[in-house]
Amino acid sequence: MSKFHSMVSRRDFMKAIGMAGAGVGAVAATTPVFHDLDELMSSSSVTPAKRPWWVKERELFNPTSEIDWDLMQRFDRKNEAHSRRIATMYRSVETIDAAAVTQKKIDADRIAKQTPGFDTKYQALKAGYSGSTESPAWAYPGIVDEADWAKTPEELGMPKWSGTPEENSRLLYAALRYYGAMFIGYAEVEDKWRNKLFVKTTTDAVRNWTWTPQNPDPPESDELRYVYENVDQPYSELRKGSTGRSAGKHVIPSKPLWLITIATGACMEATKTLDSTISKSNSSTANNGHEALKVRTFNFVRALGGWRAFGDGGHQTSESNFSAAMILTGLAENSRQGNYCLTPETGPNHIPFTMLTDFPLVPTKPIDAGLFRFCHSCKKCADACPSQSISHADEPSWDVPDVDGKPRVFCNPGHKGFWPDMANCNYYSKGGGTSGCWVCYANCTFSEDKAAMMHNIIRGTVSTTSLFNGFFSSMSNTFGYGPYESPEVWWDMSLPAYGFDSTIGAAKGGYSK
Amino acid sequence: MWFFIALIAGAGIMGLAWLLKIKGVKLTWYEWLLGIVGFFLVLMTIQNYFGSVAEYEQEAANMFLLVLGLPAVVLLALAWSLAWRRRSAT
Repeated sequence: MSKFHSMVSRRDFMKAIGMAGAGVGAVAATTPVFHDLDELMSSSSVTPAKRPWWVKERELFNPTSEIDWDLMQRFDRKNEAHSRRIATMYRSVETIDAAAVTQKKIDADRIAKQTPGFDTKYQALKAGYSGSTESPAWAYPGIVDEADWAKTPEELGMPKWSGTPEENSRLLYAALRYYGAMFIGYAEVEDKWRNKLFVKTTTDAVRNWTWTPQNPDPPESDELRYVYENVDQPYSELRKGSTGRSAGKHVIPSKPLWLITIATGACMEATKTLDSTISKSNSSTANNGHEALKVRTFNFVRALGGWRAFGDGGHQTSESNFSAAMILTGLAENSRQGNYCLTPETGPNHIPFTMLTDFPLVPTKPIDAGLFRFCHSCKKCADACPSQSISHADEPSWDVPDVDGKPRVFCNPGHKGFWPDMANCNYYSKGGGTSGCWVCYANCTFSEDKAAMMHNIIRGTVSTTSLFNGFFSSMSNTFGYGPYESPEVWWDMSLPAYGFDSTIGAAKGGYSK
Repeated sequence: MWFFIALIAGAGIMGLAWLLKIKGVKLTWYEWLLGIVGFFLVLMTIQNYFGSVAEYEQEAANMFLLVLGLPAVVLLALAWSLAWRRRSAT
C-alpha cells in the first residue's frame, strides 16, 4: 500500500489507536479513580497532604518493611551508635581517640588548604545558621551578645573571602535564599539614600504621644534619631524617653555601605480567609523568620571576612521605608494602596525588611512589570476599602492632598503616587470601624494564584500593554476573585511549608517555573 | 493532566483527519480556522477550569466554562456544521 499521499496508513492508524488505548487503559487501571474533587481531597482520611498518585496507603502498623511484634522490644538508648560507649564496645579506646584526633586534623587541613566545599564561603554559610537557631537577642548594631558572634576568618586562621562586588552579591543572594529569604535586592547607600530616603527618627517618641494644637510634637529628648558619624562600626546610645520608650540615637557610619532589601513570603491563602484572625498574613510565621535572617546574615558576612550586617529591621523603627526599598532595589512596584508595594510574583503578599552592611554589593535596578500602571485603571482595593482610605484618583499625583483641612503629614512627598489616608485606615482597623482589616490585601487583583494559566497570560499582557488593564480589573470582580466565601477552607488546603510558595525565584530545574 | 489531554487530543485529531479523508470531505481555510480556534479554546477551558478549582475559586471556574467553553463549543459546532452542510449540498 502506498504511503505517498498519506502520512499514516489505516493499519498504522489503528495500531496507534490500539497502543494508545492500551496505554490509557493500563494507566487508568493503576490510577485511583475519583468521581469529584471532594472525593479526591478526602482520599487520605486524616490529612489533606498531597502525595503522588502512585503512593498507596497500607494498613496501620503494616509498613513495607515487615515487623514481628512478638520480637519487638523497647529500645534502650544506651545502645545508641553515636555514643562513646558503643564506639568503644566495638573498637579499642586508642583507636577511637586516634580517630577523633584524625577528624580534627582532616577538618583543619581542609580549611587550611581551602579545599573546594570546605573553603571560607562554606564555613561562613555554616556559621550563619549554626548557633542562630535560638535567635540570639538583636539590636540595631547587630547581635547583642558577642558570644553569639561567628568567628572571623582571621580568628580562625583562614583566608578572608575575597571577591568582586558582583561575586559578593551572588554569594550573599545564595546564602540568603538558603536562610529563608524569598526576595533579595541591593542598593549602594549613596547621597540619595542618606539625604532623602533614610528616615530621621523612629516612631518611638510618638507612639504614646497625644497630639494637641499646643503640644503637637514630643520633646526632642524623646526622639530616637538616625544620625551619621565618621565611625567604623554602627552603634546606639539609648535611654528611656518621657513616655517610656527608647530615645537617643542610632549611628550609621559615614563609610561606604550597602542596603540589603529582603522579603520573606506571606501566606496569600491566609490573607484571603478575610475576615479572620490569620487574614493579616504579614504577621505570619515568615515574619518571625526575619529574626533568624538578621542573625544569619550578620554571622555570614562576619565569618566571610569580618564585615558587619546591621539594622533595626522593624517597619516602624528601621532606617528605611520598606516599600520604598523594595521598589528602588527592583523587587516590587508601587501600588494604588500606597502603603504596600506589589511584587510581580506575589502582589502585596510578602513581608519586607532591610539591613545595612559594609560588605560591598552591586545595586539591583528597579523593575517594570506594568503593575503600578495597572493600578491606575484598577480601583478594586479602593472600592473594597471599608473605610474608604484608598485614593480613587484616576492618575497619581505629585501633590499630597490635605485631610480635613490638615496637611497629610504621614505621606512623604517627592514621588508621584496615590495618597492613602493612613490615619483613617489605622483608626478604622483599630476599633473605629472594626478590629483588624486587610481588605485591600485580600482584594488586590494581584493576590491571585498561578494554577489557572489565565493569571500568567494576564500578567504577561499587563507588563506589555496597558490597553486591557481596565478590562482585566473588572473581570477580576466578575470572576469572583477576592476573599474566600468562608475562612474554613484554609484548613484543608495542604499548603506548602510555611504557607507560601518558596519556589518563587528558584532557577534550578526541578523547582523553576 | 496535560499528558493525557495531549494523548486524547492527538488521537482525536488523527481520527478526525482519517474520518475526513475516508468521507472525502475537504475543509475550507475558514473551517480549519474555526476548528483550530475552537480546539484551542477547549484546551484553555479545561486548563483554566481545573486550575481555578484547584485555587478554590469555583466562581471563576464556572465563568471560564462560560466565557471560554461556550465560544469553543459554538466555534467547533459552526465548523462542523459548515463542513457537513457543504458535503450534503454536493
